[in-house]
Amino acid sequence: MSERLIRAILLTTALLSLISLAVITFFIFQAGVPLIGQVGIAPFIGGTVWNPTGDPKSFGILPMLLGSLYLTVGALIVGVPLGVAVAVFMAELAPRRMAQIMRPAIQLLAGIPSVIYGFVGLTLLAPFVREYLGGPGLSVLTSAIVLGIMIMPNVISISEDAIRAVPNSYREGSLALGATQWQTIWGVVLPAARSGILASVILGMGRALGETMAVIMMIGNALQVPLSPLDSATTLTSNIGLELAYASGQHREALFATGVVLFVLIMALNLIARAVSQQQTN
Amino acid sequence: MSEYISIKNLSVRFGSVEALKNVDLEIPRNQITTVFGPANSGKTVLMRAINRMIELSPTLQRSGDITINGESIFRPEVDVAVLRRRVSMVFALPTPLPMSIYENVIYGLRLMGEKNREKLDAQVEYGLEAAALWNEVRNRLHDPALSLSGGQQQRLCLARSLALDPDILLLDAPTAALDPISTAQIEETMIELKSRYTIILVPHNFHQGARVADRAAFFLGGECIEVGTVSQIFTAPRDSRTEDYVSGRFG
Amino acid sequence: MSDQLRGKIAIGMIWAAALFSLSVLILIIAYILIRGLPQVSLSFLLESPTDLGRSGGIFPAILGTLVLGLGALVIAVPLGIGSAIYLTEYTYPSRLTSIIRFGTESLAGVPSIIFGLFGFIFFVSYLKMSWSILAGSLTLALMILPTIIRTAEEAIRAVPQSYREVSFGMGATRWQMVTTVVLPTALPGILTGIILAFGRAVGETAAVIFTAGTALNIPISVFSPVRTMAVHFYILAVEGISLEKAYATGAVLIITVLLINIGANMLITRAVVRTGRK
Ligand SMILES: Nc1ncnc2c1ncn2[C@@H]1O[C@H](COP(=O)(O)OP(=O)(O)O)[C@@H](O)[C@H]1O
Ligand SMILES: [Mg+2]
Repeated sequence: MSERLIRAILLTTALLSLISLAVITFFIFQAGVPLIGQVGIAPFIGGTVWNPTGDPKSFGILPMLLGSLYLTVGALIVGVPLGVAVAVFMAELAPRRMAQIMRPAIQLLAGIPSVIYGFVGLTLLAPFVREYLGGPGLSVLTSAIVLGIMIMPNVISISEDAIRAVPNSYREGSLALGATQWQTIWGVVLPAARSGILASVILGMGRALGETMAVIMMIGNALQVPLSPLDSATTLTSNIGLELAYASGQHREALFATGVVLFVLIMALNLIARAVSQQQTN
Repeated sequence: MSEYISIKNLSVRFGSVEALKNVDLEIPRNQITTVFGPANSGKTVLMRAINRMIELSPTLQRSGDITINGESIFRPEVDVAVLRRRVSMVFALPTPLPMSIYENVIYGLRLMGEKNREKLDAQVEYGLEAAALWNEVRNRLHDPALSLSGGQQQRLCLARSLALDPDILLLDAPTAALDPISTAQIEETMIELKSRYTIILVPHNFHQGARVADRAAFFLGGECIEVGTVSQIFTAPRDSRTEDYVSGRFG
Repeated sequence: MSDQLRGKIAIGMIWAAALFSLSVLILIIAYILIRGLPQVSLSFLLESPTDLGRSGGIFPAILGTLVLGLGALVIAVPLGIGSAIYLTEYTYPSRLTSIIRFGTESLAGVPSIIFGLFGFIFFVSYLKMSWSILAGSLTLALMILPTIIRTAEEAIRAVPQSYREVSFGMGATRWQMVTTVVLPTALPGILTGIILAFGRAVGETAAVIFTAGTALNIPISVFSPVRTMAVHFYILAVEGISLEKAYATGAVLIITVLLINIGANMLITRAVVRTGRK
């Protein structure tokens, strides 16, 4: 085979992920955008009633959008402080042996299938929440705690890299001025690593926003705007996951339209994460 | 004196870096020519020009010509693979590939598609003999090359080049990372090899050039300042910059 | 409160966070294994389920998981390694490579439900593959492609530059250089990525359930629908079919993931040993 042919084949493989992204975008939009056009953007996004098979039909995704928003924020509140703390631990504090145990453990935590997390939330955490905090148990709070733990490995790995990238001279300079270890970490290391940490938070946000099956298992799937963390809710993803199997016609189109909204949000987050992490390298 | 390799008005740039400026140099057959000078004077670039390895740089701009036996190496019909086997290079640091000793020596032959076991065995013995390594490794040819000592590794690299039956050997500071005993062994080997090969040597210091070479070319800032026999260059340099360098006044 | 004390408390909390994350891991694994393992037997692994999964085993789901995961690898591995080779060995950083990188990174960020929607509308409906091994494998392949590209790229970049110089110096063409020197040296790292990607495929639910289906039969061709262990586990739990069988299936799933991670870690250690000796 000639070098030129090999080069052409390799270039094609390299272009494939780009092409896939384009084809995915095209087909999702093609299947979803017409319905948004018929319903109108504002009634679709701002409507509070989702009744895709009723008479009259109604396609408002606000309850799911708010559900996704609350859940994502909740997951960040749980996962980010934990994740950043563990990252600080692994990069700055952990004794060698401890770090050697932690690294594969975190990798394993990232590798556990999301349905297992969802199942633990459903069978272990939800009854606990119902018993001790009230409400139905299957709730925004339950889901946020489990999702927070799910996104923790992502936050850890990117934050840890960012913290390790902080030059040692920063630490030495701070310690030489008489700062304690904690003052050095809080006052010097974390600020220097902030854009990497921010990027990890944004990527964790994307993961929480996009999670589907685990959320279906834990959130109660109630088509309502949750008023308290202990309420059941539904999200953009869980609604697609639950209804796609039997939806047809306009109903199916509406689910793809929901996918369009999700896709746009995720792409925006990816772009922001990219911009933030480029800021780190500059 | 028959000119074998002839470098004519060669200039090489990488982007804004001028690595070689209008170099003219004649290199005779079956002699050792030492190319010496301070760091960044263009010695390595000159060597890599002769086997066209400089073309791996995307920013390369070249003018001028190099001929071997009167024929330009830049003619479009020249196959660089064939050229690089004929003009074989040994690098400053020992660079065995992560495979066995045997596989290292036959690496070039394998690339050419040689599969005949007897031919391969014969070339392995020839290369290792010529590089003065055969007796030390004949019983462990299938051990990993990385298990050899530094000096042995460098002789293995020499054997890997010799197994290809090249005409010209480019040795770019081949003893730079070696101890004095290994260095002496390699220098001895070079002198033995010159009856069969034309050798261009970037010495690890100019004393090495004086010890083993027949001719010497002094490079400075990408220019070839002066060429002559070793005794002339090191005892009676014509250019004051050469004199400053060989008398240790700079570099 | 003095600075000293405040610092001690903060560092204590960081230790607590680290220990908490380890305990969560142990809790999840122990919870599923303790409840599930007692019900896992050879017949559970080798028999077909009956009564929707209320009784019997999970053999078709194990088979479905393997077939779907391997199918995804067969498609994604050549593409991913080819892509990594192109980006590292055949081009220099340029506008094109940064656009390609953007595509790969964005693809890595796409949530699996979007892959599920896409696979459903494109492979299942538009290309008329219906719910099948083929549609599921293609969808999963797109999903794991970025992981394979990224890990292969890292492994290839870690190959010492001098190996390439030697290879070119001995007259190798670029492709010969790649196949004789770069790929063999990068192999442990590339394999690690492949194993981790397989792990992702095994645990995936959203992208699989709408493309490969939920059929509990033994597949007979690439056009047969299959149910994976993760999907089976999800259905058992969500539809309240059998919590017992859900624990048992979860235990098998967790052990599979554990084995995959151990395998990947063993390879990582080998990769470090290999490049550490250069
Ligand atoms: N591939 C390259 N790209 C850019 N600059 C190069 C390249 N190779 C060599 N140079 C530059 O050319 C000059 C001569 O280098 P070299 O021939 O390696 O010097 P030396 O005499 O020490 O062997 C140096 O300034 C070096 O930085
Ligand atoms: Mg040099």
